[in-house]
Amino acid sequence: MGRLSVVGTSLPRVDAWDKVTGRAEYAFDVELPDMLHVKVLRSAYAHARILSVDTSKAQGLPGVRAVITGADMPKDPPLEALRNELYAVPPFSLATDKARYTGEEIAAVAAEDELTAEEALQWIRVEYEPLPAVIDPEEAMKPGAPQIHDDAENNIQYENRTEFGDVEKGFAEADHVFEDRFSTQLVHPCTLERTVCIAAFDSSGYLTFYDNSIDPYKQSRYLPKLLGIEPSRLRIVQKAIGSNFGALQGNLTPYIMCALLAKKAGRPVKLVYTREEEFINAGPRHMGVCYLRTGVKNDGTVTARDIRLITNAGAYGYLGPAMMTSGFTPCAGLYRCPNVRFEGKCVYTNTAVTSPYRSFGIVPPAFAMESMMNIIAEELGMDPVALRLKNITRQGDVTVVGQEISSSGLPECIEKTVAHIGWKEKRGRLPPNRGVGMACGMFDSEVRNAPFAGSVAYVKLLEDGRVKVISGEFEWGQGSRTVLSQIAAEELGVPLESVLFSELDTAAVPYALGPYGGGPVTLRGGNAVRLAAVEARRQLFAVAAGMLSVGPDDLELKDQKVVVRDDPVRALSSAQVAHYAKFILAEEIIGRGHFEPDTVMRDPKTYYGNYSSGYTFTAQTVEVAVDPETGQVRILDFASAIDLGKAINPMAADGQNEGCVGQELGPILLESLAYDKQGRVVNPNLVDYRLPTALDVPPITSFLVESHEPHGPYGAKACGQVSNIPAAAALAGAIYDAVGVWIKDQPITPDKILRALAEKEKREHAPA
Amino acid sequence: MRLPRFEYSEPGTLEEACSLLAQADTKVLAGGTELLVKLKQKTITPRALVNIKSIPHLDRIEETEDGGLSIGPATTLHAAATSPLVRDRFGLVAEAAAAVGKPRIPYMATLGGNLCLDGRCFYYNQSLLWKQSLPPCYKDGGHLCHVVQGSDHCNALFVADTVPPLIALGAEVTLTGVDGETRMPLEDFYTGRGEEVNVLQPGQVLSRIRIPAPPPYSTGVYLKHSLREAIDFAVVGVALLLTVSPEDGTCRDARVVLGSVATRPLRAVAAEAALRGKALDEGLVRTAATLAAKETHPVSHLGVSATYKRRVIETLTKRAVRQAWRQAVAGSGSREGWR
Ligand SMILES: Cc1cc2nc3c(=O)[nH]c(=O)nc-3n(C[C@H](O)[C@H](O)[C@H](O)COP(=O)(O)OP(=O)(O)OC[C@H]3O[C@@H](n4cnc5c(N)ncnc54)[C@H](O)[C@@H]3O)c2cc1C
Repeated sequence: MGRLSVVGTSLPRVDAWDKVTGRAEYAFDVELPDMLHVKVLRSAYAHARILSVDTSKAQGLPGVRAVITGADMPKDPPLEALRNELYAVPPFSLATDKARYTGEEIAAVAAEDELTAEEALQWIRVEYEPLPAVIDPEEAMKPGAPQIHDDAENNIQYENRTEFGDVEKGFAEADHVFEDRFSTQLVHPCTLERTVCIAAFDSSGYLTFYDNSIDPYKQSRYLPKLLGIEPSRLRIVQKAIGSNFGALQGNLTPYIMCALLAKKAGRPVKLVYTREEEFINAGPRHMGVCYLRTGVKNDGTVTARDIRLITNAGAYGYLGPAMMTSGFTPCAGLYRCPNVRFEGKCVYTNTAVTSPYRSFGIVPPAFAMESMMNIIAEELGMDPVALRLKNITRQGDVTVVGQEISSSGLPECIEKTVAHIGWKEKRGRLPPNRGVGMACGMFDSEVRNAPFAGSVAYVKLLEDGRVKVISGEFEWGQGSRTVLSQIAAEELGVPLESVLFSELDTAAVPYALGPYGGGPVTLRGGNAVRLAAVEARRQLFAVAAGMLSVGPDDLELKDQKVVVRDDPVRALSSAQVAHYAKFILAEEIIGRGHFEPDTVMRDPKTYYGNYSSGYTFTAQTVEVAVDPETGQVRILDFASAIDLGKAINPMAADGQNEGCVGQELGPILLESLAYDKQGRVVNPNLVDYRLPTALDVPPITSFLVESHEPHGPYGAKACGQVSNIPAAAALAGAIYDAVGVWIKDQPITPDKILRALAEKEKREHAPA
Repeated sequence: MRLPRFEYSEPGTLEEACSLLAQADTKVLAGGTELLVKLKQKTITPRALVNIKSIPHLDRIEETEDGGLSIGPATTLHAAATSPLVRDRFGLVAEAAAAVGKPRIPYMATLGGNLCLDGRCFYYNQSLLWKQSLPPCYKDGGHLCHVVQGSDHCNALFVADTVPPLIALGAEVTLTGVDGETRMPLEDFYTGRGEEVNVLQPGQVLSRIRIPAPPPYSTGVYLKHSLREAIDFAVVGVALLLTVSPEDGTCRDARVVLGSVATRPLRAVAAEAALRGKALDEGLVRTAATLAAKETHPVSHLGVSATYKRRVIETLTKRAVRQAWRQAVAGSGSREGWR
């Protein structure tokens, strides 16, 4: 690889201008002629039998054009076929016999305007038979708890147990065994843009959806089956996305509702969630309870780990099992400990269906494990940094769960953040109520979660010399279009402004798995785009060689010109060649790139396997001041380093790093989706649900470590969802360093800190 | 959520406003930062709104002959917070006004709207659809409270930030209706009942706020503790007006008013009594703070536990007294007194 000119450069995002000037077209902006507006009646109870739904009054209101209920749902949905397609069936239906969470869809109305639709909801009569509800997964597992699904005893959706090495032997070898319970809460990603779905049939019955969901391909596979439409007569056009972070990834219900209403009314329909609906319906991140045991030797060598994880799946538990696998394996792989046992249970509760909000499932176990590493260091009188360095997985390792670590810059991440914060001078030595903490993390850079886990892209050289990337990898705010465009620009020697990107239309662009985090796009999509661009360059040279009567190998690309290497006056602009190819040869220059990583699916039972072609690492340090009288935590400094292999766009990568930390500070310190005992979300708005504001996010120093991943394009790995993984444990460690208490359940509220301080005082003053 | 349909008017005079408001089911619209949210949620669905911001001069801040201030209710909180008249001598009011849903709300919201702010509650302040399955609570005309099971009254929390400082300063309000005017101490404006927080009658406008000149040798403080830096209601707000004796520096008078701890702004009378007439020292500060925490009976509400609220009342009272005391010693309080 020669010197890079576009890749590796901090260029402004290609979509920045449109977005900040309001020109980007979001699904919300789509207005179709004669479009109706949809409102949804949602269950008023967390758990209730639905005895009857009477929509006759609503149907008769002026301006109301169609009403649907559970009775209109697809009959005999081909569940088996759906299950075979992918690992789990997402929610797709209005409630029929039973509602299982407050906010579940009961009926939907399409009317001439939003207000009429909203008012019509009040005229729908639902007869409920309320049932006792259960919100906490540990409660839900107890005998006698309300049964949410008939086929799930003790509300267990999924459970699994797996062991590597010999855990009992590992504990026997340990000098100390630590045991603790950690927990995290339900939190909501609060995307800037709310859920939008538009459905329109054309006169021949061809169905188009405009939306802002993040799984258009999955949906375009499922929906025809559920709606009884031939796949070729359905497409999804994805508009600009105002962030997503995984909130109820893959939820099909809005599509089904809109398609049925559009059909019934014979007009296009548009559904836009209210913020309240986002909170009660669009999947929160699951909460997790983690019981953890760790054996260590006096010198800090970790000998055994026993992890018991309980998560709430919510009422229907869609991605719960996937999140369990995805959360556990990187946690197991981060350290070299050869003896690991894992027991996971995914439990149905009467809450909204939970989702993989940023970093697919890892937050609950990572908080437990990294917190415990800090506790161990403290108890052994060891520096937490030294304890990490003693145990971390290194480049070249095959981890206990089968990950092949083809690159790791973790030691450098640690070194950078530790130096930044002044660890040596500060740890344990700061004035009272100030402290420093650190933690590490690991996540996959992409993942084989389906039989095809690669990416396909086309790169086209247009007749004016511009380049068009046609890819199904999409932009949901992470900057993927910019990065993929940079790659195409690099290979075809054009400036970034000369790269165009196709609109995402499932009927027009090649299949892709989609982000599943910010990273896979760079690794998978980046490789595919690079291969396509290289192929386009080959075609360019072939055509130019014919035009110049030289061999393709005699050519090189310089300043958007194809130049004869030994005779540089003989040159053609790329535009000339592309023009000739298109109009004279009638053979467009279009390269196809197909990338398939050399990975395997994790064994569904043991979870073993090298499921990603690269792994991203992170280390963080933080300094805090704690007010011991109010419990308020102030973050004075935060350093976050990610090993992303290679920064294709350092500015964008810094943005991911800082944004990821900033966002996670909410769940760590402030946020909690609060359900009352009856299962109602009591803070479904942005005042009472305390999302951090710009004033709450401290300065964050981002370090990018480039370890050069051999499987990634230009050595790149993922960087979008790793910096939130260690943040909670790093902060908890800093709080301990400041005031001497460990907070083991998130969010780390001032209230909890004061209570812990009071207990500590009591203990210290208790007569021996 | 959409605003429901309603009639709307922009009267040119207070009299006109009052006669419009005398009609059934009509509400005053000021900044709208509270009212419009409730309308969208359909928590209330008035037939008509009367915008008082259209009335000339209702947003004026003037000095009165007795050295106090007269503030029009339509004054925005931002104007109140930045007005030199308010800042220089009534700093605690300026502090509180700036802290209301900071940084954006003060530009729209009015002082009158803040004084007339309704109680807040996780159950009452929800959309009509959200409340489908809930039996109506006291505040919605029913017979129970969802926050405190078995409670015989509404527990909606009084949270308006500018009220504790204004009460500490002994402010008065004028209510104008078709039948004429009433003046009363702001403290008496509040009923203590969550169902109906203030004594405003249908057809009445809170038309003026008067703050008397601060007593000589007094200094005031407002401390607000909230969990988030921006856009957050107070966990607890503590206002203090401390008057010291210039001879010996003892506390001549203290008015401690707490917000976000009950269904009304609460005078911490035991703490006030403990401070009054005493020489200020660290021990006294602690005693007063402990008393303030003890004499209140907060309930766990809006995501904040009662225990935590108590701790914060204690801390903020302590800090408020210390700060006022420091200011008094430094002579940076009411200028009149320290001449
Ligand atoms: C995001 C957000 C954050 C907030 N944070 C805070 C906070 O931190 N602290 C706080 O105290 N409040 C807060 N609020 C509540 C509210 O914004 C403020 O209390 C504000 O001062 C209300 O003033 P307004 O002019 O907007 O009132 P409006 O919404 O116009 O009116 C409020 C009520 O008072 C009545 N009213 C208004 N003026 C008069 C009058 N002159 N005479 C008779 N009745 C009248 C109205 O009819 C209505 O019932 C917040 C609100 C939001 C939306």
